Amino acid sequence: MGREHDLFFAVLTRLDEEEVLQDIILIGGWCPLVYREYFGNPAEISMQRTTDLDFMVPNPPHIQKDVDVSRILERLGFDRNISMLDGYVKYVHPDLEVEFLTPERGKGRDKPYAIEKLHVDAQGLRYLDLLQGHVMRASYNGISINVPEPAAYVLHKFIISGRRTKSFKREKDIETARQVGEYLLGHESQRRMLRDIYAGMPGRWRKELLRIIRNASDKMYEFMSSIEAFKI
Amino acid sequence: MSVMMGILEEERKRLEELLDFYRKKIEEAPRGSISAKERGGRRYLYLARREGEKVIFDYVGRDVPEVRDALDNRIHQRREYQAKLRQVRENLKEVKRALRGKRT
Repeated sequence: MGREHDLFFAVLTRLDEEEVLQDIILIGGWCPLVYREYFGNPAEISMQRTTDLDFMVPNPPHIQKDVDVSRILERLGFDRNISMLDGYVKYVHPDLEVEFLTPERGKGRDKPYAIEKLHVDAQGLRYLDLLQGHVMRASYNGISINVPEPAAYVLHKFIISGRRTKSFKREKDIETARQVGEYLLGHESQRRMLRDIYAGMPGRWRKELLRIIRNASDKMYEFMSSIEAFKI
Repeated sequence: MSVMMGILEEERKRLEELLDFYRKKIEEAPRGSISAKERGGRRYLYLARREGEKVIFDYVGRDVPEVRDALDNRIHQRREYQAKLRQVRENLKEVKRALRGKRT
């Protein structure tokens, strides 16, 4: 994790300098790195190498400042790659790939959402509301950054694992969620957070979640099913 | 497929797509270096490139700052794409090596 980490940090630094980081949320595979620092670098939270760097733009977006993020990324060596099929935009680089995502609502749409103030397009995705509703501010190498509450991150990972078509992606989601989730069980405040977020989910999601967790982690299943039992 | 194998395979696919992406970008960008020739008291810009033994001069236009700057930028961009292509090739080599190691 050498060059991609340096680039990840360079992206964060530039977005922080331009006051963009306060309005967007880091999601996806780089979050465990932030959680590691947040919890004092426990060995239980590891991070698998990932070249996808995902930022979520809240829906509706509350962007304070007009900043050309596209330009910032180009100056950092990224190139805009637009999919001919659906118009989705990725910022590509030999070491990293940046994407902007936003919670999909209603019927959804098959084209990206223009985030005009940031000069980027974001792809709409289901289930991101779960993350948007539970955001915290953490510090990573001295940079203040929005990330999902670890409990929301874990539950979201479990849920989306059930929608993955590629088996290794499903396993990767489950492994990350299991690892961070089991670590969270050792902290009362995090157990409370897991409980609250779970209780606020629609019944269909809770059922699906329990089904996935039952096969993924005994410890997590024991805890989550006890919430379900007390809830009724 | 194990998780690690899956990650490596996905990265291989990403890098191969990136290889095509940068190759196309390089093809689209102008080849050669800027050369100016004076004729009838006016300066004209050419792109000079070598083809085997020969040096080919492609006419660009009048030597005015806007044209020269735009051309300069695009030539610079082409060099950047070439550097990125080299980096992608290096990364791809690394990933393929790791994949071979995982398979054996």
